Amino acid sequence: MTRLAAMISLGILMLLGGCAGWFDGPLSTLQPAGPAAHSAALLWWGMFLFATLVLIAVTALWIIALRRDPGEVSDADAQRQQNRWIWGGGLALPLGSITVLLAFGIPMGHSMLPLPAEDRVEIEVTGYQWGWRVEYPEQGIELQNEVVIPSETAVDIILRSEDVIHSFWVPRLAGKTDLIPGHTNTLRLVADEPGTYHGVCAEFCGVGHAHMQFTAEALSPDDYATWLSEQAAQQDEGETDD
Amino acid sequence: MTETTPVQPHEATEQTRSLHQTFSRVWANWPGLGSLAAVNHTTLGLRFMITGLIFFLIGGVLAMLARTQLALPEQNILTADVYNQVFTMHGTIMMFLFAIPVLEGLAIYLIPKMIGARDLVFPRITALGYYCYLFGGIIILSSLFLGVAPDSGWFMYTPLSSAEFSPGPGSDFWLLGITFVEISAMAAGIELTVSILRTRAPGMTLRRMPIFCWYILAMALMIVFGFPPLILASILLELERATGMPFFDPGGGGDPLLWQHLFWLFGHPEVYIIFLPAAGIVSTLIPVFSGRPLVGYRWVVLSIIVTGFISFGLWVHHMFTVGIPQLAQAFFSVASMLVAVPTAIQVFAWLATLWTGRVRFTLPMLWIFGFLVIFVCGGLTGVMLALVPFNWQVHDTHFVVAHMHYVLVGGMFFPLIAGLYYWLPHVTGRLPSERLGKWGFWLTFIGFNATFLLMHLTGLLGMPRRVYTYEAGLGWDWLNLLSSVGGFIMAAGVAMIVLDLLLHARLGRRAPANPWQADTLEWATATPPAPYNFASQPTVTSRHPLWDQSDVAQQMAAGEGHLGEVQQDQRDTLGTDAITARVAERCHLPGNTWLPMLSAAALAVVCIGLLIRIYPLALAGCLVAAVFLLRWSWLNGGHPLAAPLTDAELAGKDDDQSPPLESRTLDGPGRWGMIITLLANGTLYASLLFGWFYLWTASPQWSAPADSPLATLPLLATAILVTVLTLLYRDRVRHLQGGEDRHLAAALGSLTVLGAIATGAVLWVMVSAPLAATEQAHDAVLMVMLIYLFWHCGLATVLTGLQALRVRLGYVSAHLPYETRVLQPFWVYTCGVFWLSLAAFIGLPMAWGGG
Amino acid sequence: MLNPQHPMQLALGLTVWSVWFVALYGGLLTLIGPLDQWAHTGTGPHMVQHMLLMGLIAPLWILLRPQAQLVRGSGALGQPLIGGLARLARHPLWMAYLHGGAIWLWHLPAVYDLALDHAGWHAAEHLSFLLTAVLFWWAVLSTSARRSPFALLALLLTLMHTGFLGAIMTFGREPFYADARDLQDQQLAGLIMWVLGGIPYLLAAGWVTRRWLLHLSRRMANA
Repeated sequence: MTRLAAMISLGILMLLGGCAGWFDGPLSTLQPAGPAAHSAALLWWGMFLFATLVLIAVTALWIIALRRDPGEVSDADAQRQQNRWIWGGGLALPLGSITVLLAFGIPMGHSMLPLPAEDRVEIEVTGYQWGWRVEYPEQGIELQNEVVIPSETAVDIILRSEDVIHSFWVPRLAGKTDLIPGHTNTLRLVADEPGTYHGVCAEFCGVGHAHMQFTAEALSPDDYATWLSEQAAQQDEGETDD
Repeated sequence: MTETTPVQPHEATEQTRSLHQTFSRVWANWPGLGSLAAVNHTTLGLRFMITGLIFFLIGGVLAMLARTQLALPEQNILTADVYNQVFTMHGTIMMFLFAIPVLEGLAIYLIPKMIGARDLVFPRITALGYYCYLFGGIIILSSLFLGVAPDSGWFMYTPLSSAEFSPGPGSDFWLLGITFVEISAMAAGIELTVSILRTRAPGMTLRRMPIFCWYILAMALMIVFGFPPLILASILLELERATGMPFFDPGGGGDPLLWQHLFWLFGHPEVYIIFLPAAGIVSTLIPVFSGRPLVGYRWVVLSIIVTGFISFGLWVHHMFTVGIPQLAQAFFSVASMLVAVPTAIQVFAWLATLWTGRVRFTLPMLWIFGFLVIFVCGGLTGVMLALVPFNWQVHDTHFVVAHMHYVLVGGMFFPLIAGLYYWLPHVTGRLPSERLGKWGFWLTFIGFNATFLLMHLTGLLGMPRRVYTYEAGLGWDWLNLLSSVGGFIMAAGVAMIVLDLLLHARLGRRAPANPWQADTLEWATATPPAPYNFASQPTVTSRHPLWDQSDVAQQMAAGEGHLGEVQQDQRDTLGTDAITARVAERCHLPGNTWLPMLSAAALAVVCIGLLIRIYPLALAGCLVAAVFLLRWSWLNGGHPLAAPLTDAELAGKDDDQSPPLESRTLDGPGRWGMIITLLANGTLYASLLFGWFYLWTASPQWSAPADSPLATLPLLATAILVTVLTLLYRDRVRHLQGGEDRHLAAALGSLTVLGAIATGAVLWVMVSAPLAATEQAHDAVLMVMLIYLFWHCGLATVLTGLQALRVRLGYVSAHLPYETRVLQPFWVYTCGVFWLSLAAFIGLPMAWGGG
Repeated sequence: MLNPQHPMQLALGLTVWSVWFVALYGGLLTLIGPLDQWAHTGTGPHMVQHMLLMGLIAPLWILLRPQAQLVRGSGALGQPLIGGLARLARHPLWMAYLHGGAIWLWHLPAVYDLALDHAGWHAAEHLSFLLTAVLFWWAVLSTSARRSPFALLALLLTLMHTGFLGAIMTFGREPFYADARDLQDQQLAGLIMWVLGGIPYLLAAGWVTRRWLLHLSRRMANA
């Protein structure tokens, strides 16, 4: 009884925690600010709930089994019980859960892919030990450790590496994708609203790995267009000055 | 260990006392330092386990250092450089120098006793394995004290671990040291497979085998197939670092992803290699403490086999973020979740056994309960990680660190300690302290969960792996502090266990025979066990011999079973048929010898020579190792020192009193050992093929010349020569089987000459081909293929030559045909590899159209 | 055809009849008709067609044991032919090599495209697939229980090399064949060969093992 009460209180605490912002943080996947991150967070809470139930149930069964005195169990009885446990718990439970999980997960995963979209923006990011070079080739803009994107728009980050493997990750917006020397990968980023989001390198790349952070600045589509033309104008000025 | 008079399972009479004395004399280790020459499985198993536990403590200290650094934000107790070495070594030591060896050691100690045999079937290989492990482990550890430990993470991703970005010797310590240690894993894998299949007591069919033996058989076969990809990858990376051959360098046509594929092809089976023996411990203890047989034995066997198979097809789930085609991700996601099914079957089989039994809640069962909670939690987060969109968020964060420790500590460490407490009375004859044991459990359990439970949250809040420090205010501060404090609590728990182990040897109560009333045969030995296990081998008629065959322990100890007397002062055990367990031969086993240790020492010199890049030293080491190893192979069962031909045998009379000696037969465990080794070898070669095809079709900057740079015709001619050679050898063996051995020496001699020609031809092709192996991955792979062919052809030739010599000396003849049957598969393999190489490396590219 | 005197016999008879139906008509439909037309639309569908042929139709056909009837019905010419094939089918590993050789041969881009362009070569391709598959499954499924280890090795080998070929197709940088609609299509084909294509071999391995163990326990009971 006390165990059950403890579980329920924990559950309530967590709900409150969510509301109170216990799971917030500049790099928190549980404070999503983009559709991909939202899907992932939703999947997490669903799986977490189910997993907790399964863990409690299995533990409870085990404890009961430990305490229980079944008396004399004939071989036929044992056989029947075996079938019930193994078919129910060993086959039906995992297969059923996996099917449900995949039924949600596969469509969600599909929606995160860099599929063709209208008004797609492409930005090129090159990782190196230990920083990020961000380029907007059409406008000739180059930034260091910061990427500026329009909100509510599909942004494709084209990822390349100059030296070792790195990984580009803005937890509040989307999952991560690796930068692999010799390969080019693409990550789809979408921000729900304007704001400053933080990113880290998520693949161990040497002594500077812990300090390889960057920021992703999301501007409203209008502000972004303004920013682009301002930057482009600066580039032109810079060029004519030379 | 303190001197404890063993508890015997039988009443000692004058007769049996003298019988046991004779056995003890033949089977004893040499006294004093001479015990280093021991080949007995009980001694070696314990050495593996103790060495493993010492490495565990070292790895644990490294973990404590890391947790201390991470306890507070922005600390500099360890600089980034040192921290990188610390976490790399922590992972490397735990995975390669603790987890596998300690479980191997347990299997080496237990398996012969459980199957009613006297020892494992290749005792000198057990010893070689131990010394390779010890020396390799010391070499790797020394890097830490020299300040040049590997620092690219325990999975050593390229290009970070290659020469350009890790110029120091750190990566070389890992690549060479781990490959050296892997000899020990391969040795154990091959030996356990053959021992379980061919030396079980008569009557112990596969269906009557203890479930623990099934788990170990699966583990051993998984080692045979799972380690070679890593061995190949390590060799290729070391070649790249030392000579510049660009297997993983995109500039030269290589691909960093090839390393990941090869590593994880090993890496995923590796975690099941670690989990299965631990699950075997659980499956062994639960029936004993429930007082009833395991429910669903057949289901569990099926689960073990299915887990073994499926685990080889899941490796891509470690690579969901590298840009693998999305369709492949979906498939591997599903497959990775499905592997939860056989595990769930086992969990519910255990539940059913507990449910229908009357459970005694002893200290081992407390640890098993801890295992259940922690491992199921880890398994559930594993299924979560298999879901790709979620994986994209938490991959490479502390969520994975938490998951990994839950399944490894929960799934391996807790059952290991349960098994430790369970078998401790068997090893030492004394019982540990209940109180210390319980304190140890609760401190470890609470400490572990304090460290790792909320670490899942740390990962979800965005903390990546392998960072030496973090900024304050990201929401990770209190979580890291909690994990670090938890780490110290867990360390206290481990200290309790160690204390208990050390103290019980002095202060523990004496344990009665079979204190847990178990059903398996290891409890029929004396406790502590005699080096020969049993005075005679039983005939097994049930899956639970000690429950269903009540007098079996007494009968064995009284010498009433099989092989109940020492013959010709030899150590021996019965060889039986793999499926029906009917007696097939008598396997004569070698006694104490220094050769394994000396061979391992010579190999250590090779390792060090390659490490410090003084190649003459490495070459010298190779030659010395060759001398020792060939001397070893010379002193086998057919050698007169071991078992001289009796007059009766020479006269051709059949000795139908006892089963024939292995060396007189045509199909003993030695041949099986050769075949299993060739399976491992074949897996290595298949990994090379995989690398070739992968680079050719998926490497970003692959370039291949229009025509193969290799001289095709000479290679074709050589392949034909090798084929002829193999057929002639087979023919000779068939004659020998028919009892005809005239001209055998001359025939083998001429085959040796042919082999030398073939080897020379390969060498000529290798030297004369215009291969730019240090510039193009294409040429580099071809060079490796040629070296592989050269090595195999050469080794086969040398062994054939030695065999010709042995015929002259009378060690091989129509009475002793066995060795030729052991060498024959090696020639068949070499021949097969020649043709496959021609087809895959030369024929296919030409036919494909130049890639 | 069936004179069932017992419900079990009826069930068994129906099962045999369904298998026969699927094997015969499924086989026909795989090679002609709408499935064949669909197979022309890309590498993925083409792979499905081949996998059905080699992984479903061929083994089902062998399970029906048509050999006796074929021998009786084929007269003086057919009997030595079928006898010869039967002798070949006693060696599971050699049949695995043969089957593997045919598979890899027809997956060479030059040869694959040749079959796409010429109906004659395409027929030869399907014939060689079917024939080598039938021989392979004959050797594996009908071999004597004593040779079961070789059958299992043959299955393992085939599982591995077909998985290998599928993996190469999955991870390839560019499409190898002319009928690939795009890279994704080839990846799908590769995954079908690798993952789905492995299922018949795994099931067969289970079946062979079970038959072997039953045989052994019968032998021990009689001994």
